[in-house]
Amino acid sequence: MIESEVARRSLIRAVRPDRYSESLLERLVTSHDLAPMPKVAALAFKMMPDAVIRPKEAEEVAEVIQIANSWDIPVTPRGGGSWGFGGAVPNNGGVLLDMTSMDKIISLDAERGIVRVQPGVVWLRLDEWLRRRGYFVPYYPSSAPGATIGGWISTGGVGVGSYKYGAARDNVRSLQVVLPSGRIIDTAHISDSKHPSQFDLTSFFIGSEGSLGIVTSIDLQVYPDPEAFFPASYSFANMDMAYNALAKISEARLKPYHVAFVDDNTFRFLRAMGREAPEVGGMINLVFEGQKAKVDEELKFFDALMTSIGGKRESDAVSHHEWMERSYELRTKKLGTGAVIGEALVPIGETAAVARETLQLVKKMKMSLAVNGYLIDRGTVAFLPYYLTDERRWIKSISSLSFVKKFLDISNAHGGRGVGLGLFMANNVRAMRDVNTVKLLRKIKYDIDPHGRVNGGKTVELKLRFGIRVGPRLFRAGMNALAILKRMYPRDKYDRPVPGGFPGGEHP
Amino acid sequence: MIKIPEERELYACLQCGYCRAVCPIYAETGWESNNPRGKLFALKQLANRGPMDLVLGRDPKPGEDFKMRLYQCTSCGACDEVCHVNIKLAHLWEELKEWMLEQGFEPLEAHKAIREKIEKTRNPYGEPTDKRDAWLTDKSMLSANPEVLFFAGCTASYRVGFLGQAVVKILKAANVKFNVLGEDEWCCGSPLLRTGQTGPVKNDLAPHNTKAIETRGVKAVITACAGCYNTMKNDYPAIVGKPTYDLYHLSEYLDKLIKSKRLVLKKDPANKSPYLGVKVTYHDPCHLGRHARVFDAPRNVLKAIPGLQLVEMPYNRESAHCCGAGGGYKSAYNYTSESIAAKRVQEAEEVGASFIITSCPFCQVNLNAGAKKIGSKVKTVDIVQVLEQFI
Repeated sequence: MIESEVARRSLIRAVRPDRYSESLLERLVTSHDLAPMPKVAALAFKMMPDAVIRPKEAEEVAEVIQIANSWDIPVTPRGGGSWGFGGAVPNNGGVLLDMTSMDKIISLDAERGIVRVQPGVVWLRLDEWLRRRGYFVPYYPSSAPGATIGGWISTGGVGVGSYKYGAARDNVRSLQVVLPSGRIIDTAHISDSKHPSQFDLTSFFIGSEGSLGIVTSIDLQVYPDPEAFFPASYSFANMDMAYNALAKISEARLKPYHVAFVDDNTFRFLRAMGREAPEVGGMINLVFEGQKAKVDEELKFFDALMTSIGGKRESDAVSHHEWMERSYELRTKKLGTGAVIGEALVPIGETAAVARETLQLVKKMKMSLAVNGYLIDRGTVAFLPYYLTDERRWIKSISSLSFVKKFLDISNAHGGRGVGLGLFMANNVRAMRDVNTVKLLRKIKYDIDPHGRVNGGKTVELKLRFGIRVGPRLFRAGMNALAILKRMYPRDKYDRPVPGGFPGGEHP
Repeated sequence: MIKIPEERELYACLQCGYCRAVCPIYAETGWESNNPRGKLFALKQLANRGPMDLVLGRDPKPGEDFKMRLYQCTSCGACDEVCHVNIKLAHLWEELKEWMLEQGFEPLEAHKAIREKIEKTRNPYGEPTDKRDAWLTDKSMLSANPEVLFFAGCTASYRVGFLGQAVVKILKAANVKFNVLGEDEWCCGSPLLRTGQTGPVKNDLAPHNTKAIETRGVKAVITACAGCYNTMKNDYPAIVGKPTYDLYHLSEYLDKLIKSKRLVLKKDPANKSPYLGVKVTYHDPCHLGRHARVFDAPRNVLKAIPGLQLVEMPYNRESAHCCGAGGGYKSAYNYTSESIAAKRVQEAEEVGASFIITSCPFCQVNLNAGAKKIGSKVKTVDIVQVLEQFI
């Protein structure tokens, strides 16, 4: 609850009474993201906001921030809440800005191929809207049916289609941002939005995880709806062959629209759930789009390439199914009742080594894990392992969370980096950047937001309740202790046996 | 300790929010607690109550506000369709409403009134039981040895009798021998099942209707109401066991009649059909489509009409948007219900349709109310109203 009655009244006036809530129910259901945090975590972080506000316009966001500044109230922006690193979760209560209320598609500039949207628009809805008008948005998160545009670009924005069309950074032309001071800025002028000749302010805010300001409008590059679209899946006898195939694809003169992989454990988990899944050692899913002749040429080219390195072309039905499942990579959560994702960008040549060490880690930690991922450019793989957990067993569940840190250590050691920092992985910034860069990042944050009120205590530093800072050493020691604790427990068990045993170990 | 139905499913929920993006109620209110994901998260906190809540200074327990959130649901099942981990959400919401009532909460006033009327008069409108078949003016059409039994449903019986009349006219044109239950037809129980008041359905309505049908010895039952069809197809077997008859939604039966050439559709015999020369679109009722998986039959019937220009709205079949009337929502929250309907009408306008054709009397009523709300000229009619002009 907001303690000051005057502050409360001001905040309500800034929006409207029907877009302000202090109800326990509303605060409770907005106190989390995808990560299944045990209740005990709330001792460290005050994850439940004091009030939930649903703004409609940038001016309302600005007014809320100004009031928050006057009354020293933390502000946390939340989009679809479908990330897993706590970027949209309060760490010290305050106001939660539910940005899904800003969900208007404002305009489509057909001449320039630019759509202007509010940040709360869901990716899939935008794509559907554009396709009815002859356009499409070819880059989006795999969580497109639920993720918001503002949320994704705040996390850096790599995903489906990034291989051909680039990341958010390559496609966002301009942003309207409410700064932590309450001032509203536009990051680009219409004439230089595609080729900024000065300081690239748009890029500055992308991937800042809401710590430098709150995005209230986005100009996105869109493209004409393609003439042809074709998915083709290739199975391999083992994942080493599949990782090798990724490297070969990245060296090819032609470029598919999307290149994804799914490991054998994913299929094993699916079978354990009673679903049909191919019995293969791994799968590479290619997708082609564009002019029909070009798609035909690419298909022929990659068909030959994949076959030459041991790939087997799966049926169109399987290929179509794999494509349709691109947003459903965590169906197997039901197997353990919980699943926690790690996400790292790994140099393509290191993928097999990262995979091998990750499976060894999992074996040591007596857990079960599957991996999927995709190419984001010719040199980089987005590597997404997820482990099954049972959050009803909270000590085991919380000790398992140390896997994410350990996995990021592996990817860092191989020249990779974690995708998200947010709240839970904020201290990982020290492992990815040199000390001077981290200092500069912090300086930028505090120059823009001197009191760290807007999504403070995240991304460049880790702060608990009451603003208590936790340094990387303490964080690392805590994670190591949790990992040791996890190894002391018996191997994880699940309700349903996985045919062929669990990855990295014997059948429980 | 509170025992919550399907507790394991609460933990399986990924919180991905795919359901959030398709929930018609959330689209209206915008509150996280109104969408399926939010409700599941709140329930998980209830299932997981413990001393830690006291330490954290909170005490999540089922309250009136949570009850309201459960009842602010049209039972459309759109969440079910997109669920990342295949939780049977539509079923879960109904179970949870029942569970809330078991915890001592009262049903919403509008729903309580429906129950009282059904218990007293066997229909949710409180109309006299002996007027149940008053819509059927010519009783001589009834066969003593029928092929099918037409289960008219309460709404066609008491509110939109012209639908029943259109059905019998079409059956007669196809030389189908039929009969009705008359006073023996009671409410199917759908309004009670969807609002958590399952007792009278399990103890009374379902056993009675099943016995009444089986006593007649018919091999097939047809109903023109999506709600009745869904209830008899998906709920009755769990209550009264496997039926001894084949159940058809009218559109399925008509599809059969047309395919077997028993029903031959003519090219606008009266030369005055308002449905020709304009675009028409089909709205999938949630209870017929997503819940009962009947998507093709009504479309096949409409495609068999010579000259009818059928266009699809962008959201159709499994992803069809709800009209806002189901799950007892309209009776309790009429204003928002009509706002949801208005959005669906706008979708029909966007594809240039002059008529929305549907197979559910509730959808028809609410879509027309939605059109009125926004001053739209789009009119919603039942599939039988269209078909009767071509026989």
